[in-house]
Parts: sequence; structure tokens; C-alpha cells
Amino acid sequence: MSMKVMLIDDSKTMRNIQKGILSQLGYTEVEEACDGLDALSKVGAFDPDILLVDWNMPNMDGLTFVKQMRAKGSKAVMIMVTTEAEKARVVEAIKAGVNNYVVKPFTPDVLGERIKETLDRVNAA
Amino acid sequence: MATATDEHAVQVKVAPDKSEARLVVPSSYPRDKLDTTFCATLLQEQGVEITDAVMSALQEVITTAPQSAEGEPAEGENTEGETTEYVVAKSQPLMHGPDGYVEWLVHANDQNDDAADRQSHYDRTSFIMVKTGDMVGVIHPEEAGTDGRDVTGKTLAAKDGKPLKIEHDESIIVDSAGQLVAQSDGVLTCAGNKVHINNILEIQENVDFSTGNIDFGGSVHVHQGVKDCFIVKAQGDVEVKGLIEAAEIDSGGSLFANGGFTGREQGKAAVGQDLSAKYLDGVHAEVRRNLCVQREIINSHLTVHGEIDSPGGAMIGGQVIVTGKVHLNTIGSAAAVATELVLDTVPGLDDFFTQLTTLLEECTQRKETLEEDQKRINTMTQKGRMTAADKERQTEIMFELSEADHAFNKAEQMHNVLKHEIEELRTLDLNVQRKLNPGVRLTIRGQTYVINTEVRGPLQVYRDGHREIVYKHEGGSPILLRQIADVEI
Repeated sequence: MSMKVMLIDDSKTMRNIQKGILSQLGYTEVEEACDGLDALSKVGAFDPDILLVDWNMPNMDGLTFVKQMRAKGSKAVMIMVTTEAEKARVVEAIKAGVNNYVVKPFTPDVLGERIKETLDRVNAA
Repeated sequence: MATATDEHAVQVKVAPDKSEARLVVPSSYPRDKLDTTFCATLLQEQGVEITDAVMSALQEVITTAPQSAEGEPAEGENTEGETTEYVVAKSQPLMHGPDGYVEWLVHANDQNDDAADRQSHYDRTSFIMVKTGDMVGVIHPEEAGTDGRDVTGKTLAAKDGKPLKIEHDESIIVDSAGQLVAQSDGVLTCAGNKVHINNILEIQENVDFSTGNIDFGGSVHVHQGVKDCFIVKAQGDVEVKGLIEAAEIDSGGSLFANGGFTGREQGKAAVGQDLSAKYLDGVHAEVRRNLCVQREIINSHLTVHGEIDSPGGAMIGGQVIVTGKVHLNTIGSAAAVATELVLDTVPGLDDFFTQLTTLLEECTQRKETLEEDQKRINTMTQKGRMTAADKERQTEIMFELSEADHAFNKAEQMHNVLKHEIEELRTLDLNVQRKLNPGVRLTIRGQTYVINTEVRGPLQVYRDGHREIVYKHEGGSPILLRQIADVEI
């Protein structure tokens, strides 16, 4: 797979898990960021196709990051990976511009399926 | 020598072989009377071809070579008595064309050009080893000759070179550029105009300093022996008619030690197929297939992946590990020399199987620990007490469980396959023709039986229908092996 993926999460463990799952799915070009600010500094050079974004992070949370990216005109696929499961917050995230949502805890299969279904939907649109 | 008769006149000397013509000028001859036309006429009368070069030479003589003020000859003059000789015509020599020839690109002793300074005498080889695809030589075709011309203008006919006649078989091809390319691995042999790559290296005498170590792509036949500290490596078979001393033999095929192998604890062999020897003494060897020894196996350490078929052979001292059936004449000695036979084992695979079993146990334990953690978190979820950190931990556990499951399944599959393979390969079937001596240790699947009495053959040790290890004499009833042995736990 030639798509570039950026992982944005303040937990190194979570980033490692997601990287492992992505590797099993065949995604080999992966960049990491520890919060929204760090991610903003890296997206320009890396230019990811898919972003897996955590919600609660220091310096800049995931929602703010998504809003800023969409304000810049980014069309990248963004999937929120977070513990937030309340409906209101899910709607807020979608309004901000995320393409899909994965709630922790998740199995490797769930994340894989979510990425696939999101890409299929975006490509069809 | 053709000359004019007047000794005061200018004369012409033509060499008998017509290779040069000289103008002989008496010192008294007035130089102002010398002119090119006059000299040319003289030369022509003597049959000398008048060419531009001759005219130039005449001009040179006339204009640049007067006598010096003291009457001494000027530079370049050849004086004889009262005359001076000038070379005015030279022949153009003929050149016969060179014959066709092979420029050989491989030589003995250039195996390690970059280590030439450090090359040991053991590594100096007198054979030319080549590999498939090596360019071993280049044919230079014959060339045409170049005719000469003598001073009279006669052509001196040159001969053309002779074409090279080289005979070769399918082991060497000659490509369109005249390159000789090896079509197989082997030793390059040239006999007259025949060239060939032999995939059997014949060594007429010993492997010693005259041959150096041997590393050959085919089979090696040694007509005498192999001396101490030398190495013979062959991808095919190795056959040694004489004695192998404390040397190292590495054969991809079989090893035939027809004169015996006396390793003195330093001798080593790695045999890709069968080992057949007159005797083995102080040898360390691994045999991928079967072993056959005519006389004795003494104080040797052998690993045999096949069978031992030596009904006339004795095993005294040392240790032999064997996978398959064993047939020996005598094991051990009356003096109870420490002799061990490890039976019913698949060397290498057994160790790997043990490691895999341990890995499976560790995977199982890990899974159990993770499942415990998961259960605990699930309980908290049900009680509504799951924090964000718990959710993250839950994701971690799910991921690790998935990985552990994957590893476990793979290891279990391999474990089953290996177990089946090992059971297929190993055999407990020991046949002793004449005598099993006290002190002999028989190790069977980790358990050692130390024979405590002399047992006459023929006898067989095997596993009966109840999986008990028994022995029996021909026509007799099976008896538990531990009746004649002390069992070491």
C-alpha cells in the first residue's frame, strides 16, 4: 500500500499498537506525532493521506487539530481514535470534519475495518 | 661482394643477402665530383633499386659528410683504410605472422590474489579450479605476415601465422569473441591442444604441501592419503585410497576413507551423504546419512543422521549419536572404556522441539495473564467504573492477545509437524553381533542405561509393544533392558 498515515496520540503505547496494526494491514509509510501542535508541524512535509487522531491530548487536542486542518483546506481522511463515546461529542467531531470514528477499546480487526470502510466511502464520494 | 674494379673510383658494396648497399668513397676522391645522379647510376648498375629513401640517403652523404679539417672521419662515417663507406640502402625485413594462441586467464595459485601476502603454504594449490561461467582464456587468432623487400627491390615473402587448433568438449565453449568460457565447475586440464574441465579432481599422490588444501566443486579422488592439518573440501564425493591423518574433510556427497582415518582427536569430517571407512580413530564427524565401518570406531565423536551398518565393526570409547538403526559387532571393551551410544534421537531437531515446547508454554502463560487482565477490566466496565486509561489498557490487551494468539497458533502448528517428523525419523533398533560389554552407556530419549554385565550376541535392543525398552537374543524372549543395566536418572 502506498498511502501515508500519520498517528497523532500522546500515548506512545497507543501509537505502537496502531503502528503494529497498520503494518499488518500493509501500511508502511507511517509518521507519528505526540499532539495536535506536533502534528501541525509535520503534516506539511509528510503530507499524509490518512490521519488517526486521538481526542484528548496536551498542547492541542484532536478536535482543534481537525478544525485547523479543514480550515487550511486539507482533504486528508481523518479518523478519530478515542475513548469519547457520547453521542453529542461524536456529532461535534463529525461537524469538525472527521470522516469516521473508532472508540477505544478496539480490536485490531475493528481498526482495520474502520480504515477500509472510511476509504471506500471517501473514494466513492 | 659486388664492387667496381677501379680502387680510386667510387664503388658500391651490396651485402650478400641484399640487406644493404653501401657507397664506398676513397678519401682521395674529390667530394665536389660526387653527385646524386652519378651515385644513383652506380647503385643501379649493381642492381640496387633506386627509391626515394635511397636518393635521400645519397643526398645526405653528398651534402653532410665531407671529411673534417684534420682529416678524421666525420660523425657517422665508417672508414676502412683510405675509403669511407656510407650505407645508402637498407632492406625492409619480412615479418612472419604470429600463430594463433590462447591467452590463459586463470592460473594455479591465484585463488586469493588480495591475500597473497598472507597466503599460507597450506593454501597454495597446483590445480586450476574454475567455476561455471568463468572466462578461462581468450583465443588470439593468427595474423598475416608482412612481406619484406631487399635492396634490389625483390619481395621477401613472409608467412602467415598458423591458425590455432584447439579441441574442447561441452565443458568449455568458445564464444563469438573467441573467449573460452567454462560450462561447469571443475579443474581445468590441458593436454596438448585439448582442453577440458574435469569435475573429478584426481590427486595422484598425497594431499600435502605439493597440492595444498583442496576446495573443489566436483568430486575428489586421492590415490594416496591426506596429511595432517590439510583440508579437503568437495561438493561431490571424496574418496581417499590411503590413510587420512589429522585432517579435515568436508564432502557434500559421500566420504570413502578406504585406508582408514586416524584423526588423533584433531581429525574432522562433515559428510553430506554416507561415510564408509576402514576404521575411525579419534575422529569428530557429522554424517548426514549412513555410516559403515569395516573394523573399529575408536574414541571418536560421531553424529549419524541415518543408520550404522557395521556388523563386523567394533565401537570402543567415544560417543556416537545416531538416529536410525544400528548394527555393530562389539560395543565397549573388557576394560570398560567409556563408550556411549545415544539412540532413538534426531540430533538438532530434538533440541529445536524442546525449545518450541517451551515457547508454547510461555505463549499459553502470557495469554492467561492477558485474559486475567481483560476479565478484571470487563468487571469494572460492568460496574461502570472504566476510566479512559482503562479503555486504553483494554485496547492494549486486545492487541497483545491478538498477537499472542497468532504466535501461539503458528508455534503449535510447527510443533505438531515437528513431532510427527521426529517420530517418523527416529528408531530404536540396536543389533549387536558378538558382545555388549559392561560399562557401555546406552542413552535413549534422555535416560541412560549403563550395562553392568557382559552380554553375548547376537542380541537386539528395541521398544516393545508396551513401549518398554527390552533386549532379546535370537529366538529368545524379550527381557527388560534394566535387568542388565543400571538406569541413570
